[in-house]
Amino acid sequence: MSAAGQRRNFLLLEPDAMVRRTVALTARGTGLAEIQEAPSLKTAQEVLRREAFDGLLLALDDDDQGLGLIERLRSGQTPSPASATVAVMVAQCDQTRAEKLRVAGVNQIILRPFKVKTLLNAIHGMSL
Amino acid sequence: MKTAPLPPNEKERLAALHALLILDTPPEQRFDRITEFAASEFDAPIALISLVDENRQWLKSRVGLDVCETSRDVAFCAHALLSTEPLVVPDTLKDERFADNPLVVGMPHIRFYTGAPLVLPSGLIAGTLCIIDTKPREVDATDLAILGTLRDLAVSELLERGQA
Repeated sequence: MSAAGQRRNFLLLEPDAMVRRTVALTARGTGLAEIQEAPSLKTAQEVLRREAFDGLLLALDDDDQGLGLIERLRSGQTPSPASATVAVMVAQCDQTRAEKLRVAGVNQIILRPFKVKTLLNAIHGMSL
Repeated sequence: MKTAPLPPNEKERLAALHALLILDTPPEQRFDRITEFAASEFDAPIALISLVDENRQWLKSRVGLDVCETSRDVAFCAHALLSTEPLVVPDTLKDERFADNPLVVGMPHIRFYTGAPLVLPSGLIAGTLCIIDTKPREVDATDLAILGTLRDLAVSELLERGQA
């Protein structure tokens, strides 16, 4: 929960339904955060266009298509603060890709396979 | 070993369990997905969806265990029927209820158990979603919250068949 006691709102783009549901329900149930679930990039684009978020958690494919979401966020083209924290989940990441993600405005990189607990801890850190 | 006392609402509990029409049905992917996820999330060698019948615990879904049922008097899950809160046993050898349990001193040599009760909308408890290890372990509040969410998903699947 934020310092003001207001529950933070996050967008979670994650294709694995089990991971997505478990993160969202646990975060909500513990009062950690509200999680808007997006199973696909298309859904995430639509939700990001109409809702404001305190942070984004985005599963990226190897082609980094989801970086367009971060570009829109950082350039102020969404209702969310342009400075909102962004974490990405990727299957692999070398130094070149890490630099590409950093330049794109990614604050945290989470490598797959990850635990639900890892994602919840990331949300907690992004909520401080 | 201490055999778990029967819950005060045992008759109603059994009726609700039987009304689910789930006992002795074949394995189903929708339940196996939950136990496999729990085993992976908690790095647990064993994860079960256990339903506690009159004289046995029957396993609707199981990871890491070959048997599909055990007698109720040795079942850890029978102890978890007494509260809607999770039953956490960090080290069975330090717990007089379980130290000489046949499932502790023999296969599968349970040392750690945590079970989240499968609480039906009626408040009656059908069984547990549990994780088991052969080493002593601790769990924290986040672990219990995650297990609780997976338990909720398991209850939702149980209710797909009947309404208790």
